[in-house]
Amino acid sequence: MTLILEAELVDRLQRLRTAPPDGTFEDRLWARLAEEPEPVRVLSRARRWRPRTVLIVLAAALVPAGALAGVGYWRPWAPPSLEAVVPAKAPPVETPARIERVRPSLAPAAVSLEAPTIATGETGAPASPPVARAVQSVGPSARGALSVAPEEAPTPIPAASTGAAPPLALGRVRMQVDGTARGPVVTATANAPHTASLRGAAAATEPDAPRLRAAGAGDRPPSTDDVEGLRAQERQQERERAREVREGVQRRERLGSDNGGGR
Amino acid sequence: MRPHIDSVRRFAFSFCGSWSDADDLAQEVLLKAYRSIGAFEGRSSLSTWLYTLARSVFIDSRRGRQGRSREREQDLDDQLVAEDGDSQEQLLVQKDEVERLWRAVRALDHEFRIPVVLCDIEGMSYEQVASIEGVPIGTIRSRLSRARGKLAELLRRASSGESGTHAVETSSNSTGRPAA
Repeated sequence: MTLILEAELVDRLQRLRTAPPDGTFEDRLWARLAEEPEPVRVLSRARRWRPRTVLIVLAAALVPAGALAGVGYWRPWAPPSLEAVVPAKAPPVETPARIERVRPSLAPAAVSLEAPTIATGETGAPASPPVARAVQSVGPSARGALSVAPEEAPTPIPAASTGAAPPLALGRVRMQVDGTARGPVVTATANAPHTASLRGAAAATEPDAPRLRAAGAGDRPPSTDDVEGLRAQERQQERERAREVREGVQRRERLGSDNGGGR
Repeated sequence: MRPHIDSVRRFAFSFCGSWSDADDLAQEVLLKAYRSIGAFEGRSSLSTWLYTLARSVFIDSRRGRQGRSREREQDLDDQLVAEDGDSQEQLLVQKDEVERLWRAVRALDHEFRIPVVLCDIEGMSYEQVASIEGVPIGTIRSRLSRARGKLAELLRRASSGESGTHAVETSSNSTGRPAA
């Protein structure tokens, strides 16, 4: 009973949706609206910053940025890496195998400067077996060249001393004389692949030969006085040699004049 | 806004006793909507926003207009009775039927009246009415079901010997619930 009445009631209620008596309602309404000022569109803060607006703003900012990044227009900022700050290292210099093979022979070469100590036995310092072997290997002429006594051999490191070792294929050879308590140590380093030899490197140390010799005479480091004394001694010897030469020449002239006068 | 004018007028008529009062109320609602159209944010449809505004205006003005509407109703009844003739008699029957329905609708409390007017008369959806009322859809369904039952009871009592107007008026005076 109720359901039938309800369906019937709904049907009857729908029939109420008829046009109301028109009259002059709309005319009065439009006339009244014409007197009203233009409505002002008020945008409240809640409208401007509601979630949808925030999403639209973010999308408008991020989507073009992402698109530009996608085509490689710009890259997101990143802290400068160490590679960008520090210049790239030069490719490592490949050390020839010969250097690796020759390098152990540098130790005897360095020790050979101390050979006069062993040979002369002035300081009585015991020679270690490698040092002794190195001294024996260079031979007597080299031993004499390395010793302090022969003044006629100005070359401090003769070719014979390095004869055991093949010439190094070093680049720029830098000889470093380290005046420590143990005596001078000659080290060779290769910085660039140039062709050179240890012999040329040894020649580079020739101005320091008196210092080396002076240092080689003992275990103490060479002092300036020792070097100056050696140089003065060398100059004295030069003068004596020149004087001997002059005397010899004068003697020959005198003998010649004596022979000529006798004819 | 023009397509909603007739609906607003009918909605206003459910709160008034005469079409002239309903027109005044509808005009007030439409003017208010025109002035505050800038506040319409588009989160809902324009009809929902408009009926929400009309609802608040109607409920606020209901008390002041209630007594005057009864007088207007009496005037309408007198006008209908004064006309004469066969066609007029048929028209009277139809108008009496319409008026009885409207009176029965107006006899309901506004919480039951609004779902009946908007859903059954204007054909709005439950969701839209729930948005206008600010209540869940289930509440609208419940209110609508109860409102239909009350309407059926009011119409049954009005057609059973008693004068429809008197029956509706009696029930309207007793908190909108049908008299036992």
